Amino acid sequence: MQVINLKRQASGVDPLPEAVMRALPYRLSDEIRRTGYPVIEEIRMRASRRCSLVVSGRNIMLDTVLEPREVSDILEGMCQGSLYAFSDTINQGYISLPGGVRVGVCGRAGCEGERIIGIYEISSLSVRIPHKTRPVGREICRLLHGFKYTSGVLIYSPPGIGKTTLLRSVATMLSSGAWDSDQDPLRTVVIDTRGELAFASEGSDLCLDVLSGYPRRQGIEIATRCLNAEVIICDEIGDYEEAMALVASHNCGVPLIASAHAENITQLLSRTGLRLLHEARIFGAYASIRRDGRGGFLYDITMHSECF
Amino acid sequence: MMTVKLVGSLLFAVSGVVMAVSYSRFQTKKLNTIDGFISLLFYIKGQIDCFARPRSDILSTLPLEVFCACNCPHGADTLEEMVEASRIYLDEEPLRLVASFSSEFGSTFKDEQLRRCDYYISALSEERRRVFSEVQSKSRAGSALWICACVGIIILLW
Repeated sequence: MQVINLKRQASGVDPLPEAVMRALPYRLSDEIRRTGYPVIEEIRMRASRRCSLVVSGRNIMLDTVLEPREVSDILEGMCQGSLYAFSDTINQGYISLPGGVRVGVCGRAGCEGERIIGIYEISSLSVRIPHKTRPVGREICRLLHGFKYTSGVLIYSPPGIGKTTLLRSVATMLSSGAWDSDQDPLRTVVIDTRGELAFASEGSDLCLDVLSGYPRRQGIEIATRCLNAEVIICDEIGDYEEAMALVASHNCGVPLIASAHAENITQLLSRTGLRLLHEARIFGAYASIRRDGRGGFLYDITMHSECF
Repeated sequence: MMTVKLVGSLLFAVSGVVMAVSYSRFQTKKLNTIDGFISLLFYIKGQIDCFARPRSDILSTLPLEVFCACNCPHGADTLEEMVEASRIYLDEEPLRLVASFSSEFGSTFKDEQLRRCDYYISALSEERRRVFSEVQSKSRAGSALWICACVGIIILLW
């Protein structure tokens, strides 16, 4: 046992989050450790098929094949033996674990009309693991400062680029004032609808309030009316009904920093919900992001006045 | 000799009364245990319906009175512990019901879990009615038997 433990330490593999490690079968977690990858972005488990990892955007196949019963047991383990407690999010295709881990759930849907009432015969699980990165997002903070905190910024990119990571870092910078030596901390409210922004483990010197699991519309109302927010941050907007509600509740003048999926500004503003937000002048700028290969981002800023 | 007989008779009489009281209390305890598990199920159902709380959180906030009623005065980490602690106080069918609930608890989605809570509450309530009707008659009969047995032994010894 001593030799095995020393070998694991020598491999230099960052430990996976505890909530994930506890639920994985030993043979799978052991194979993951033996791969030696220091940073794993995703673990994908499929019933009766080989598991795989996502490392730096590449798919790495593993040898471990899980039985359907094992995949179901892993989900039950992640739900702490309380599947009912995660019913609502499972029906939307995911569960959120402590530390910002998001697990995509795939299986057979039980439906009542258009409504999914349960997911059975779980066939695959996709575990997305967040990692700490160096502070990024000063440009977003400078934009906001340039608007004198009267307009917001919408960050957009294709999926998987790092919008959530960027939002997390921007929230930390704004709530600590760390993005500039002359800046005071701002009362920052994060509406963490899907539990991905995960601030539980962040520093104690942040002027930060987190509304975890709140729908975005209600979260913004609470942030502006009850929490006296100076800036509001939320993830993945774009739904038309949500946009209408955001416009209705956003007459308070508190800037909103949000993210959305889109390849380019034309595609972004062609979506009905985002077009509505654009015409209501919720955002003063739109920031397209891409990775710079060194853990940071490159920005392509389009001001509101430059858009059609 | 007479003194020994008197002391012996007294001891028999006291033991008869003690046994009668213990038997009566045991029967009452059976009823209280079923009540305890019914209260537990109501509590679990409320926590799931209102808060969708995980099972470990539900037990950590369970009132002490319910733990005591389920024969776990120092609390318990799992439902299985509570079932095991109450085993001697439960008849075959109530024991089967609570063991079945604890083994399948947490393995279904919310709507189904609530329906199962309703089913087990209803089934245990039915068992409670049956046990209630038996407890009174058993307590009286048992107490009378113990006392009569002790009196009979005293008479034989004299």
